[in-house]
Amino acid sequence: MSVLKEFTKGIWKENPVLVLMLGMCPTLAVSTSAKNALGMGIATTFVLAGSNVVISWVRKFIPSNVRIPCYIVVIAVFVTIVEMLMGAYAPAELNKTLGIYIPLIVVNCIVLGRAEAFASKNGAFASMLDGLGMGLGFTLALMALGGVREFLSAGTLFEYVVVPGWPDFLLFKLPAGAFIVLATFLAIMNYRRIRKAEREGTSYTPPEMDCSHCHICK
Amino acid sequence: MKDIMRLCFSLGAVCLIGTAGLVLVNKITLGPREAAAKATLMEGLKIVLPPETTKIALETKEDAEEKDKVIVMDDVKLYRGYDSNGDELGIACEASAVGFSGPIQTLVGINNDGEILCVLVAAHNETPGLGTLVTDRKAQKSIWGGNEDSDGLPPNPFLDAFTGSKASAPKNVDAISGATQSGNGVKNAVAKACHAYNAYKSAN
Repeated sequence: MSVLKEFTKGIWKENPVLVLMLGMCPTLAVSTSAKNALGMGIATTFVLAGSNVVISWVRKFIPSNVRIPCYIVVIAVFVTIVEMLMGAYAPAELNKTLGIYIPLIVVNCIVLGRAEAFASKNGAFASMLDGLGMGLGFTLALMALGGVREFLSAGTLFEYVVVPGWPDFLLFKLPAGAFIVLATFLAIMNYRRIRKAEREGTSYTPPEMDCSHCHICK
Repeated sequence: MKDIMRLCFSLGAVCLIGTAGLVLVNKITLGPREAAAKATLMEGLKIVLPPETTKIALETKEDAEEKDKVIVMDDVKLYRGYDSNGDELGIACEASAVGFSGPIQTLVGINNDGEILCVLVAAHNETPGLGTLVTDRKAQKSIWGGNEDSDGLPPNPFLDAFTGSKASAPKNVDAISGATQSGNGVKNAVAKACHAYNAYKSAN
């Protein structure tokens, strides 16, 4: 697989939110507005790329039987170190904007999922690219979700009023709205795939119905 | 047996190295992190105290002058604000109460008449977009212009609802959907701050 492919696969073909169904918890919780989604996405991308590199470095020293607990320890340590460094040296404004998302990433399953599925089998550079691509895909999916939810709930985008006088539609700000918008997105994705499969004369199984993309029990 | 020992050793080694790394980074960053937290607190104190305040009593040392000392009542800290003549203008109370995820550090500015001037959340770990509805102040902007008057303190309906009520009987503010627990945390912190303020005032 070429280097570019490692990066681009996370954006659309293997989008962590819309295809791999990873990181649903932050997706539902933090997509209340486009700005929150962007902040969470940037923080996750950084942590994902960093932790993938670290896991890729240590992968040869960790026996495969205890690799999952080891990865959890490594990721938690990495995220906590990033949090402490940001609290100490990042400008107050940046820490205020991005710092609040870091604790949410500690046990994020995208990070663990990519460590297990990719970084534990590939070199540091490819793992970093995979992390960056997955992070970008996560950010874009979250921003699309956040944008739709923010617009429907308050008529704003990135906290700027787009439609003055939009009635407060609280449903979309609350978790129920997150489920509705996410389900709509997934339905559109599946509809596109089914149409594509029909045109090609094959049948389509949604990838999340099997677990071929995950290697944890293999 | 040998295999189990090997696995235990590997996992133990990873944990030990991780812990050592955390201890090291914690030690290195402790000073700068405390300085950054103090800077945020200072900024918050300036906002909640009356605008004429020129000096804030910040001394924590035992041998400092009585006038410059931070008053500690239970776990609430009271910072007195003075104007340029040295007259007391008001007190900023720093109190913490548990919200949805961890403590919410709240600053409450109270003037000499015992009236709440401003409530500000200085530090918290609440969920962005949900819990932050009751902790963060943000200005409403529009893509159609008209953003000129956004210089002052941005509004937050929940926090602003406390403004103007008496510290002896802080207002019971309605909860906000999606942020009930966080709102209770802020409310408890404000109640603690007012309680400490009242105790201090009745003692003096």
